[in-house]
Amino acid sequence: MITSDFHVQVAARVSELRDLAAMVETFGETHDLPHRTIFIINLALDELVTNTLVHGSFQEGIEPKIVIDLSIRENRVRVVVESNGGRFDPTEDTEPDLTSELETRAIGGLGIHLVKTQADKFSYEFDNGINRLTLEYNLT
Amino acid sequence: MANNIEVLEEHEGDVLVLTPVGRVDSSNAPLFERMIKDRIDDGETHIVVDFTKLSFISSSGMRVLLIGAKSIRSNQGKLILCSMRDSIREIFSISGFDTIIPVVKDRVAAVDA
Repeated sequence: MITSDFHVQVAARVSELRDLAAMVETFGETHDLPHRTIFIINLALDELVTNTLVHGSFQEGIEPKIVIDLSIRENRVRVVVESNGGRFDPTEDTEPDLTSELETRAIGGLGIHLVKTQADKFSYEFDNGINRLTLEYNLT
Repeated sequence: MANNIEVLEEHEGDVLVLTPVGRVDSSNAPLFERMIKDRIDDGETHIVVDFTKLSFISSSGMRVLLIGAKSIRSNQGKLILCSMRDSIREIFSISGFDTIIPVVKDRVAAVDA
């Protein structure tokens, strides 16, 4: 059973992230989600939207679109991020360097690692020219 | 277009305490990076980043702190982080950042470190 839905299209600009985060916070507070869940959803959206803007290879002549859906189903929050750029699967990213010393620690790859680690489900599909990332977070 | 970042700056003796306010995300991390770089270039060798007023930080913000820690270490200085809320502390732990950049309980400990 779907208990609640939230749907927003964001402009393909990194400056939109702040408005998006505020909307997610309002959604979370309205539905009494734990602070941690709101935080990790916003962390995931910052990473995924930024990744899409950087790697999404939007084609000329096609208006870039990023659409975000949040829904609560039973005891899970589902987050879907759709974009119309070229095929880009962030779930294939390799594991980042998490152990080396400060001087040699590689920079990068961390964001997606955090998204993967914190989500209970993280999947990608490319369907009809649309990249679709689905994340789920258990509330129990 | 980048969003602004508000960072409070205070000196406690030789220690520079930076307190970012609100969010450090992909939209304003470049400004935060430039600010820390400028302070290190100005000769600061003990910088504390106080998370008391920070509600959110993304991996791009964490990257800024890693770059800052590397840079100040190469000047024989140190960057210390303090006063993280639990959700932020968790991502520093998952990423292993807390093993390479010191994270302490509060500002007093960070200034004394």
